[in-house]
Amino acid sequence: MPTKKDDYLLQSLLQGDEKGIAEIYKQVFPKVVSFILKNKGQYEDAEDIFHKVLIQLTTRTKVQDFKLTTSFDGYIFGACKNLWRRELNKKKKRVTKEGIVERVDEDEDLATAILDQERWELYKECFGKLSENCKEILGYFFNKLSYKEIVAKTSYTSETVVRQRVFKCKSKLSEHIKTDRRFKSLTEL
Amino acid sequence: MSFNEQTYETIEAYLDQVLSDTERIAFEERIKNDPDLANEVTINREMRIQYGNSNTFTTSKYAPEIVTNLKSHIQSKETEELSRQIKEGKKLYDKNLARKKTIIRYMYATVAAVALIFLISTFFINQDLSTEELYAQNSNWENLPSLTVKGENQQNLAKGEALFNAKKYTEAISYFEGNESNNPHVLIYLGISHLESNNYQKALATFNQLKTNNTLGSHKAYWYISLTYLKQGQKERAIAALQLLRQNQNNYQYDKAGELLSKLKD
Repeated sequence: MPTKKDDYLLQSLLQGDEKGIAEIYKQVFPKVVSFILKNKGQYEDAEDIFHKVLIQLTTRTKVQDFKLTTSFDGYIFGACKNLWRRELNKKKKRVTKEGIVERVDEDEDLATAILDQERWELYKECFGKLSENCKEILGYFFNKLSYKEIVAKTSYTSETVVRQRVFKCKSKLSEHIKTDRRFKSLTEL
Repeated sequence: MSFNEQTYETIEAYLDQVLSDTERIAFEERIKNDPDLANEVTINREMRIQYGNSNTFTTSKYAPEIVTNLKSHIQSKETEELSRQIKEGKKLYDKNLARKKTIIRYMYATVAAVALIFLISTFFINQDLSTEELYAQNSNWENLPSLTVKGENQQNLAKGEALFNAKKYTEAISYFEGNESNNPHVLIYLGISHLESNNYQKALATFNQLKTNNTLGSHKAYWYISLTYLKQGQKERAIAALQLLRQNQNNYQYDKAGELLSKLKD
């Protein structure tokens, strides 16, 4: 949950208060720098990502009526990680699609990144609603463990039982996602 | 609109691209005619991306009007102004950091200088002192076996031992010298007497004689050689001698040597 300090930081950002913004940098930026340096990036990338995430957050608050549910630090750091992963993925694609000149609309890309972040939150939160047992078994499943391997890692006795559990948990998860109020706006129907 | 297990299995197979061509075409036909199924497939594809360990990133599209709405806010004057303010905030942060760094660097330099002076002074004063202390703790001669057993030069040895026990080491030496005849006990008494009289060269020579004379007591020489170096404050040599001692568990004072080593290496 956000604290008073978190609220002060968010308000400083929304109002463009330089002192408060400097405080935000002091709180989270070093962590982001070290994450990006460890993941194929430069200091300049960290500057760029951090700046974008701050714009992202204000846009979300003003346009999407977004409310912080976690700590301010936690949100910023998580969003920076996501945005950097997204950036790396784009680079990879650009390499594989060599020869084709793609014109990137920076602003549109930033808008899409906001929705990617929202979608990520939706899927993460829905997963969090599952029972511990479902989380464990689906964790294995989505990390590509075979039913046989899941049997070995859990107390289930056969692959058939595991298969049924995966089915039950996955339809439950799908139900959570479909009934979330954010789901519609995050899908092109 | 939930689907049965069979359908879920087919979705998985479809996403894994392991359906046969006819199966795939039939399934894609179903998707086309069933928006709920299409939705389910999309969610399942997305689940793999969001929950899997792979580096793929979300790809499904968004409703264009929502993207446009966000984009127009990003392009607004308001955002432009905010972007400028954020850059100012970053500059302020950099400035504060630079100032802090200078202060910290100054503090480090001061701390380092003080520590260096402290280290230098304690190094020179303390090194000898601590080895001397260790020597004092370990130079307890009361448990040495008595020399007044049967022997030819019993009288001289008895006198020597009495002087030794009275800590009159310099005088004791003359009674031991010439009577040692490779007897390990006498060599130890003689060596220690030299050591306590600060005749380090002679002490070492005596203990070395003990070490090489191939008697049952020879192994004790390592311990006394270590003590000789300790008393002189020759830490490195003491450590080397103790390490030699530690090579054989049966050696005299094996455990104590271990303790001493760990203290010396602190």
